[in-house]
Amino acid sequence: MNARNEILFALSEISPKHIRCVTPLLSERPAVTRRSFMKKTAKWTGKIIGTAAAAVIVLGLIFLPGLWQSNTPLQSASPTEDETIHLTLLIESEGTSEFCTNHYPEKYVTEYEKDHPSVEIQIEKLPEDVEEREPVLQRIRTEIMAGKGPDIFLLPTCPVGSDYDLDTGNAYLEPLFQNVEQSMYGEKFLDISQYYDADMELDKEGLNQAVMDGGCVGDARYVLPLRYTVPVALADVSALKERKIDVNSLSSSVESFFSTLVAYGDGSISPQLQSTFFCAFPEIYDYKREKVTLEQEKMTSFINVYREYVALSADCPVFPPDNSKDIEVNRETPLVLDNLGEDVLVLTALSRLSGEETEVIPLNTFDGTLTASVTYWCAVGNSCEHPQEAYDFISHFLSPDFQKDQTALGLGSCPGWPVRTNGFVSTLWNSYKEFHKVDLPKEILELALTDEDFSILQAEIGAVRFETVWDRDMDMALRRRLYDWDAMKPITEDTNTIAQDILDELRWRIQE
Amino acid sequence: MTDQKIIELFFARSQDAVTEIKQKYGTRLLLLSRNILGDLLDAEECVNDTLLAAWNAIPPTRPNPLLAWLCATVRNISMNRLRGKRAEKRGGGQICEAFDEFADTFPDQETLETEFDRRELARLLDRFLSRLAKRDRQLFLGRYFAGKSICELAQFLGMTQENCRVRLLRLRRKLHAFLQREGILE
Repeated sequence: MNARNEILFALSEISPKHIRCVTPLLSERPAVTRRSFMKKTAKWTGKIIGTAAAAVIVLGLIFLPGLWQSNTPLQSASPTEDETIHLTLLIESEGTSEFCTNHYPEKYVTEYEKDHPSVEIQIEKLPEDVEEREPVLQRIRTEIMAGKGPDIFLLPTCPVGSDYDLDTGNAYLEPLFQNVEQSMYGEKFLDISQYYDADMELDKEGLNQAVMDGGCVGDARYVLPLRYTVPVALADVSALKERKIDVNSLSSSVESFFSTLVAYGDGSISPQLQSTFFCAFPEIYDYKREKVTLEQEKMTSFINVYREYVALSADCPVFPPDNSKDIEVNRETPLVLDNLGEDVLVLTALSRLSGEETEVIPLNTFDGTLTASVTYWCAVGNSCEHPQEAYDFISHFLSPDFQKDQTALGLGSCPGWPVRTNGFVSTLWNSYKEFHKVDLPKEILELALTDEDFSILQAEIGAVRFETVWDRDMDMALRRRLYDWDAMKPITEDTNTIAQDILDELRWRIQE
Repeated sequence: MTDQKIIELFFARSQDAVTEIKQKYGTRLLLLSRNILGDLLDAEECVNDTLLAAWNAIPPTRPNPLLAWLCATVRNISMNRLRGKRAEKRGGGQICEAFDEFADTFPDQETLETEFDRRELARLLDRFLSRLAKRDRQLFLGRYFAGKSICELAQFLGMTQENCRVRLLRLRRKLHAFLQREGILE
């Protein structure tokens, strides 16, 4: 069959949400839409309104002569209800502090509406309270399934309150999208590539291309990453040399990293890694075919090494530190695991002051790929009826001004580095010093840092992922299957069985 | 009766479900089928086949929205019947004009990559449609999904017929370029 016929036949199988937009046409008489009704009646309405307006003006001139002398400025005609474009914006409600991610979106909505009088943006916040949040998540998910839902999403991949205790597994805040990548493949978002490609005002050169491509599936662009991070190890090179630990072997892969530390035999030199599962594997799922691509052999091999490492480092604290006091304490730790962010910046500064040789080692995944994680992103909902306006709105979050202003507030409540990667080290460092100036020693306050001090920003990113709830759950499962945290002793369960169970669980989830 | 209640009737295996669905949506389904086949008797048979399909599919299927599911089903059945009619050169409805319109952008000799199945093509069409403004989507689907005439579409969308034709031509070209970019046109 030729292409033409195939297309016309395939139209029967398109998504119901598209069919729904055509069902109003399926009536015996052509429906009189508001548009056609207005067009038909415009002539008469115009005459009536014109006459009435003239009468009002005449009456006004007769009875209210003082009106024209008043100081009230003449306002431009506000758009009628029919002309107003309504957009809904969904954000996280991470408190009300100006350091939170919501401060700027709220401010920007006001500015945007002022500049675009025909657009009205309604903000909805996801509640922070777990009990309040649950029904809201359910409602929005149902709306999305029914082809409705918010027009714009501006969300962290993992809500700030979602951190949980690795040992106890205490509850965490559930994100709206448990797996952003799967949602991209499921076309929960609108493909905005045509708007992005046509956007000549946006300086795309300055954006980290590899990270930006993380929001694409093939040629379709569903998500605009705003911040990202990469797992790193901050190494005190001379201290490691003293212990005869080869720094290069730490950087080649996460498996090699653990093996090296296990071979050294002292877990206390390095604290635990928070998202081991995420950091270990670059590709786990094939969303298109709804399959798990991670092979059991690799999984087993990794678990064997990780099991020994967990046992070795079980009683070490979890990083990262969050204040200068911790940083001082951890100057004594020769190896610090962290993500690209403020803490690494501070430790870099400390090492520069002390003259110690420090290296920020990118922590590569199992196959040696440096995998970035998108931590904050925005997207247009698939049901959005005004995609151009929605894109115009979200593109602002990638602008140099916005990214710089937001960076100046620190990276605290929204982890990750701006996707406009370069040029922010000094901004961030200055804002950090300003915020901590009471605690920090004078020599640190006088220290200037630039991008050149932060070579990790130039590290080649081989893959980009969005951390998922699944990754976190698998982390928890692994840790619980490998170590008895109450009795503080290793569990001797067959590695193959654990690997098989983990993969089965993932297969079940991806097909669910 | 709400769609939800109709679906509950299907789940309860009550024949009232078919009566209700026919009463609520029968005319629209009939018109859609007639636009494709050009014959009221054929269209009635297709609507009956659609109701039977609904009876067989629900449960376990729980279509949401119900009308969209019914429209897709009746269109599929009608298009298959149209294929037979066209092979026998026995006419067809307004949708046949759409086939002819497509010829200017998708010539006869243009075929799809052989390994491409219809479902994958439908997903691509979904992506294409998602990129369109609502008005363009209604115009495109009104013409090529529902087989509405240019005159009806112009009236519905408050456009001139000439404007409709020009926009449809642009949309066909856009679709052609999109499918070419996706690499599925040979």
